[in-house]
Amino acid sequence: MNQVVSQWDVLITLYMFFSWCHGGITNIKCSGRLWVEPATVFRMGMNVSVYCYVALKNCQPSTLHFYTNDNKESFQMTRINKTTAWFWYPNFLEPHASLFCTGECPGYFQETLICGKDISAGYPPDVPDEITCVIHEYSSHMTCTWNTGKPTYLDTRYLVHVESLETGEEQQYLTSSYINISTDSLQGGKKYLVWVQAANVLGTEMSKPLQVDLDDIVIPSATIISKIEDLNTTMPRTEVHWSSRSTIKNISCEVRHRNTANETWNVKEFATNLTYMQRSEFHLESNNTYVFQVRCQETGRRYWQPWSPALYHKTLESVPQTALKSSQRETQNSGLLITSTFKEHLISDNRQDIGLLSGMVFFAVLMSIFSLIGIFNRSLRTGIKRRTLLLIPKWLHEDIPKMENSKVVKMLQEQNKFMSSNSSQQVLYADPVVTEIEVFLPEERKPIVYTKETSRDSLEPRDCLQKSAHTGTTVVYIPDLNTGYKPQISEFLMGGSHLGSHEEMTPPTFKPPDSSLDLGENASFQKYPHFVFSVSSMNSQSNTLFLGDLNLISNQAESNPSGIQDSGEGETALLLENASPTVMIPEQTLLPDDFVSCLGILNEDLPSMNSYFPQNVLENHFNRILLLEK
Amino acid sequence: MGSKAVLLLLLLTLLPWTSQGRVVPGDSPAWGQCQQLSQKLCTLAWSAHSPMEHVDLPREEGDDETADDVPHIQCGDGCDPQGLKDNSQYCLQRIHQGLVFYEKLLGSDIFTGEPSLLPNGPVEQLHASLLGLRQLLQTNGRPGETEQTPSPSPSQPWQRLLLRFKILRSLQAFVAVAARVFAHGAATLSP
Repeated sequence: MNQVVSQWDVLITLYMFFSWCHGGITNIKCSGRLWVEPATVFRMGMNVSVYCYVALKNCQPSTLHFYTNDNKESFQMTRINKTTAWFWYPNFLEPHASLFCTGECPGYFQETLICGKDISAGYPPDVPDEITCVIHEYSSHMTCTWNTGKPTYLDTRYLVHVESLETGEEQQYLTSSYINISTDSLQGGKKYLVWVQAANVLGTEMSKPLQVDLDDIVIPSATIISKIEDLNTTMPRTEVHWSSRSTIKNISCEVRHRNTANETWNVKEFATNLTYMQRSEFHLESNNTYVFQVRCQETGRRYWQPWSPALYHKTLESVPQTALKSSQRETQNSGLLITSTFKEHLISDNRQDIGLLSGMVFFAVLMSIFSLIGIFNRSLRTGIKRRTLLLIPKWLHEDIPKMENSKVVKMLQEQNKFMSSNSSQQVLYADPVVTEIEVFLPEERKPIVYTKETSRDSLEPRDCLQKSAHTGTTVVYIPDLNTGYKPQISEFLMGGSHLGSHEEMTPPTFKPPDSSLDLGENASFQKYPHFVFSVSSMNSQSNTLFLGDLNLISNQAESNPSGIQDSGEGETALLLENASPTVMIPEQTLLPDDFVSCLGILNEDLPSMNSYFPQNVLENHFNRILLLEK
Repeated sequence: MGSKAVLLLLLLTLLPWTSQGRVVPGDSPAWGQCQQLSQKLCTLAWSAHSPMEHVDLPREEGDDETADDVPHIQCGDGCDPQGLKDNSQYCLQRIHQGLVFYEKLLGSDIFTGEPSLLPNGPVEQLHASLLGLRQLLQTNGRPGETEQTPSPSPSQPWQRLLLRFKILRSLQAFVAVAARVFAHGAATLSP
C-alpha cells in the first residue's frame, strides 16, 4: 500500500513540476501581444505609443481596453483594425507603469486578457564629477564618492576604475552609489588614477580621472567641541574646548563661529597637536547666541574633515556676574536661559532685603530719639498731654470721685450690714467696687427701682424668671419680625416720676434687689440676660411647630395697646417706667411648657429654659422659616 | 531516447523527497490547533483578497477548458468523514502538500516584488499563518517539502497584479476545505 502511495506522490510532484514550466496559477497566458514605441524604457517626457494586438482563438472582441497600473484608461485609444488598437501617452512623466489590454468577448461577463507590458521612463546619467577619495584615520578602506548629477529614475550603475600610476595595473569596481576599496588591494604603490563611468539603458558617461596619493588623502580622526564657557575676567571672553583622537602630529585646525543673527562665519586657524585638549578664546558680544564648529586636517594635505556638529552658546549679559556660566549644546539652550533668569532674580531679591532692613533700622533709631526727647523734655510732654485732652471726649478725662469715700456708699454699706441676713445674698451684693450706676428714688416714694449693671449681672435665666414672677409685675414679651426686639414691659405699681436722670434721685433708703418681696409693691425690676440659643441647629420639623405656636404670640403683640417698641436687642438690664398704672398692658406671655419641652427634645444642646423663651431665638427662627419658605 | 532518460533521471531524483515529505501514517495531528489556524487562514485569505474589490479582474482565455496546476483536495484524498475515520493521513498529506505550494507562492516575487504590498498587511499575516499550519502538520525531524519544491519563474510587475488575484482566489477555496476537514477532525477524531 505504501508503495502505491509513493508512486502516486511521484506522479503528483511531476505534474506540479511541469506545471511551473507551462503556466497555470503562477503564469499569465497572453492571447495577443502588446508593444510600446519607441521602447519600453524611454526618456522621461516623451510621447509614447502602445499597441495591442488581439489573438484570441474563439473571440473577436468588440471593444478593447487599456489599463495603466490596474486603472482603466478611458481616452486616447484608437482602434486601428479588428485586431489592433493604439493607445497614445503624450509627455509620459511616470518612472514606471504597468500596462495591459483586454477585450470584451461575447458570452463572458469578465473581460478577457490580451497581454501586458511594463514601461519605464528616466534620464541618461550625468557625467560623474567631484570625485573624492579619502582614507579616514584608523580605517582600512579608501572611500571614493562622486556627484551623480540629477536622478535618472532608471537602474544606473557606476564602474569605478582605479589605475596604479606606478605599475599601470587597473582595477574596476561596480557599484550603484559610492565605493569602499580596501587599502590591502591597492598594492600598486601610493599614486593612482581614479575615474568613474556611469551607465544605464539610456546612456553612458565617464568622469575625468582623479590623481590620488594615498598619503595625501588621510583625514584625521573626528574633532569635536566638548565645552564652551564664558569667563568673567576683566575683559569677558568665551573659551571653546575641542579635542580629537587623532595621533597625527602636524595638524591644522579651524574653529569658526558666527552670530545666529547673521550668516557670516569668522574662522580662526590653529596649528596644533591634538594630543591634548585644545582651548580657543573669543571675545564676543554679550547676550548673543553663537554657533561654533571645528575641523582639522593633516597639515599640507588635500582634505579637511567635515565641520563638526554645530554647538550653540549664548554669551552672558553685560551685567557683571561672578558666577561662571557653563556651556551646553543646542538642545540645552533653554536651560541656560532659565539659569540666567534665576540668578538675576536672586540678586534682585537680595537688594530688596537689604533695603527693607535698612529702613527698619532707621525707623527704630528715629523712634528711640523721639522717645528720649519726650522723656526728658517736660514742656513737650505737657504740650502733648494738652493736645490729647482736647482731642478726646470730655467724659473720658473727667475726674471720677473715689467711690469708697462717698457718703452715700458708706451709708449703703451700713444699710447692707443691717439688712442682710442671708449669706448668699451678701455674696451676691457685697462688691461695691464693680457698681457703676446707682439710682436713688426720693425718700417719700421709697426706693423702688434699682438697676445694676455689672460684669456679674449675667444671671441665669432661671433666677431672672423667678424674680419676675415674685415681683408681680407684668411683662409682655412680644416677638415681632419686623421691628426686632420687643422689650419686656414692667408695670410700676406706683406711677410717678420718670427715672431718666440719676441726679434728680436721691434715695433715702436703699433696698437691695434681692428683697424682691418689697419690690413687688411699687416697682418692677427686670434683667434680661443674653441668651445663647442655637436656632440653627433646629430642623425643619421644629420650624413648623414654631410657626403654629408663635402665631398666638404675634397676635398678642398686635393687640398691645401701649405700642411700646424698642429696636435694640435686649441683652442687658432694662428699666422701664409705666406711663400710667391704668393702662392695660398684657402680661408677659410665656410659652407653654409642652412647647419648650419640645424644643428641648429637638436639640439636646439647647440651654435649659424651662418655661422661658428668649426673643432673639424666635426672631432668628422666624427669619429662618421665611428663608425656608422662599 | 534522450528525453526518456532525462525523465527517468528526474523521477529517480524526485522519488526520495516526495516520500520523505508525506505524513507518516499513524501520526495524529493536534486537531484543535489545526482547526483554529485553518479558520484564521480563511479569514486572512478573504481579507487579503475580497472579490468585490476586484470585479475588473480579467479572465484568461482557456481557463475554463484546461485544469490548472493547483493542488486540489479531491474525493480520492480521503478527506470525507469516512476517509478521515479510516485513515486521516492521506487527507492530511494532501493538505500539507497544498500548504507547501501556497507558502512558496506567497514568499515569491509575485507578492514581494513591485508593486510592493503594505508591510505587515493581510498577505504577510497570511503567509505567517500558513507557515504555522504547515509546521503543525509536518512531523518533526523530517525535511519538509519546501526545500525541494521549485520556485515559480520570475514574474514581471504587470503580471503580478493579475497573479496575486488568481493565487489568493485559489487559496481561499483551498483553506475553506481544509478548515472543514480540521473542524470535523477536532469534533470526532480528537483523543
